[in-house]
Amino acid sequence: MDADAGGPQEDVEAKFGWRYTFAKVMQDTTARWGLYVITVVLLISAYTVVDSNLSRITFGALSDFTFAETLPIFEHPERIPPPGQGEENVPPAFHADGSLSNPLGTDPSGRDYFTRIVYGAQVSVSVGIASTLIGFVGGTLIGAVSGYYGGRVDDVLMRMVETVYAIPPLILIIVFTVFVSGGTPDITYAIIGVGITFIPVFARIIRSEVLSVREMDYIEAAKASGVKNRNIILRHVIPNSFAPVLVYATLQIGVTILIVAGLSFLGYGAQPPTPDWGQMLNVSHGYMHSNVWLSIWPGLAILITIMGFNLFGDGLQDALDPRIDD
Amino acid sequence: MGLLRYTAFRVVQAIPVLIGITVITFILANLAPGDPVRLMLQGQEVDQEVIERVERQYGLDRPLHERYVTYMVNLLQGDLGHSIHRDRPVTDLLIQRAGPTLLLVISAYAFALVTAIPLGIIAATRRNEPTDHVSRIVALIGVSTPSFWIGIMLILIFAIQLGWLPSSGLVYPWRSPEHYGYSGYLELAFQTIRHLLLPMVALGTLQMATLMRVERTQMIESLQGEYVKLARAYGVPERTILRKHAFQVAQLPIITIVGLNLSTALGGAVLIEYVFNINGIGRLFLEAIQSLDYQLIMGITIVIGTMFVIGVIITDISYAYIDPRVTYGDRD
Repeated sequence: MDADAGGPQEDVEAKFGWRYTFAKVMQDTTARWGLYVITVVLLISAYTVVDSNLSRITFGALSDFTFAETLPIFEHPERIPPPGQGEENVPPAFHADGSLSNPLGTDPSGRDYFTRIVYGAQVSVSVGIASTLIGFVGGTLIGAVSGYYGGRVDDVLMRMVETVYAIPPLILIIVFTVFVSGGTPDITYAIIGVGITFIPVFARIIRSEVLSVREMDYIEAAKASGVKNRNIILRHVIPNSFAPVLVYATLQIGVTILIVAGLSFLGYGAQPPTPDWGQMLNVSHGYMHSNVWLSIWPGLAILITIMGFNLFGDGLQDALDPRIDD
Repeated sequence: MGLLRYTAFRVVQAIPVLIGITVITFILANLAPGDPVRLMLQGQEVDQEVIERVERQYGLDRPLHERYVTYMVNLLQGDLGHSIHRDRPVTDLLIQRAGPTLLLVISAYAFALVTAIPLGIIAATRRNEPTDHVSRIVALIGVSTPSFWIGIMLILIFAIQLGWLPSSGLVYPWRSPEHYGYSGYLELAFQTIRHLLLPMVALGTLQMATLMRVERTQMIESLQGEYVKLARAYGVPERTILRKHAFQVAQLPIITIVGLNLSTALGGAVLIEYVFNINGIGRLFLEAIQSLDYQLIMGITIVIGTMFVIGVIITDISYAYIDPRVTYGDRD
């Protein structure tokens, strides 16, 4: 673009593009707060990645270096302290029997609960994003093909999508996880399972967008100049139908975290000793009478994280929906 | 006439989906590496001869498509197969466990509707006032909290700390009071409600929050409608406008959401039945998964999928029935 073209263009505010969208979203209080919460959760998970590598170093080859042992803030979240070292089921710090060295107490294996809660962010966020991505990519492809070709292809694909949609996600994912893993469920199967069950919703949204995009002149032009269907879908149809799905994807991350928490709670998601919030609630379920605290913190962590994504998604929807005007 | 034809049309439309559900379940159940009999034995040492005999008995030695056809033929006659583990017909097991689940899901919906609609209307009429903000925050927390954790918290507060309500099991109103040793039907009803209260709230909160958000948006949109402006211009009292003009139109999307959310509710029932020790289909499903009871797992998945499809059809039809603007087929 010409250098002198920048001047006059600034006067006319572009009502599209990433920068405009971002500015509009940041004007929305709800979206802003959602973004703050998400940022904090992301920063915590990013830090734990660094921290866990540091603690691995201290347990590993570099343990001779004394400085390495002071570096990690947290203990290893999965390592069960040897007998006589960590006390089990210590109540949180504000309790009379609690201490500040274990602010949220310890779990039935004597591990620091705060450390495990903090590490749980990493698990939840990565699981949420990974399975949403699977649903997003799969749904976009199916929805685009279905909407672009229409007719028989559309009928077959949409019936398939409706079928997957008809079985409650939790049930479908458990069946998938257990059978595909051959009776030994794991978080990886859970991620793939959740991703697949969310293909239908994404496919439906992108399909309805594509139905209007395919009537556009530029698609006609591309067809006339002999561009292959595959390239039209990938280069023109999908990029132009993207925005609503992106909003939906943000909201979907929260839903995904919610479902994976349920899966792990039932024992078909993350397996011990992974510090996953749902898995921690599974363990604490057996201690409801003796140690109430164990059940409270992981649930609160899930609630706050999902609320962040929901707030952001809500705000995004409001900011980008031209119909709603305050 | 038009409605009847529409009903028939929707039922026919659902057939491929219903077949699809059976195909998916069948494929998933047969995806497992290794043969199902060995998987079910979970490492126990058994003669090869015994395994082959069991396989022959249940037709597991035949190719997949043949087994599918047999399964479908039986299914159409209402036979969902035989649970090898429990040595009982799957249909019997499902009928036995359906009551508690239906009781739970229906009461959760009743709770959700009774609370969500008034709250949504209040929030919409007092838009951007403190009442609106509070109810929006409540709804936001409602959609962000795992239902099973709400259940755990309710048990901690109302069952363990306060000791007001029972934390597990249900009392079924269709049994006789003598069965539980109660004095009469009044006590039976009282105990049913007492046992149902916590699981109902735990399962219903997500529905309540979702419905409330929809109700609020719909009422806001409906109150901005031209017909409301006209009614106001004619001096119709605000209460009448709210009750007669805005309210009815706003309820239509609620019906759709109720139908579509049936899937979430049925999935949530698995978690809530686990937390509250309720012997419904959800618990049966978990037990079946734990013992890798193929026939039972397939049966439950197919029945729940079918329940969802029927639920959506019912909501679609009631939508067509209630909304005078929508006509399907020739109605004049």
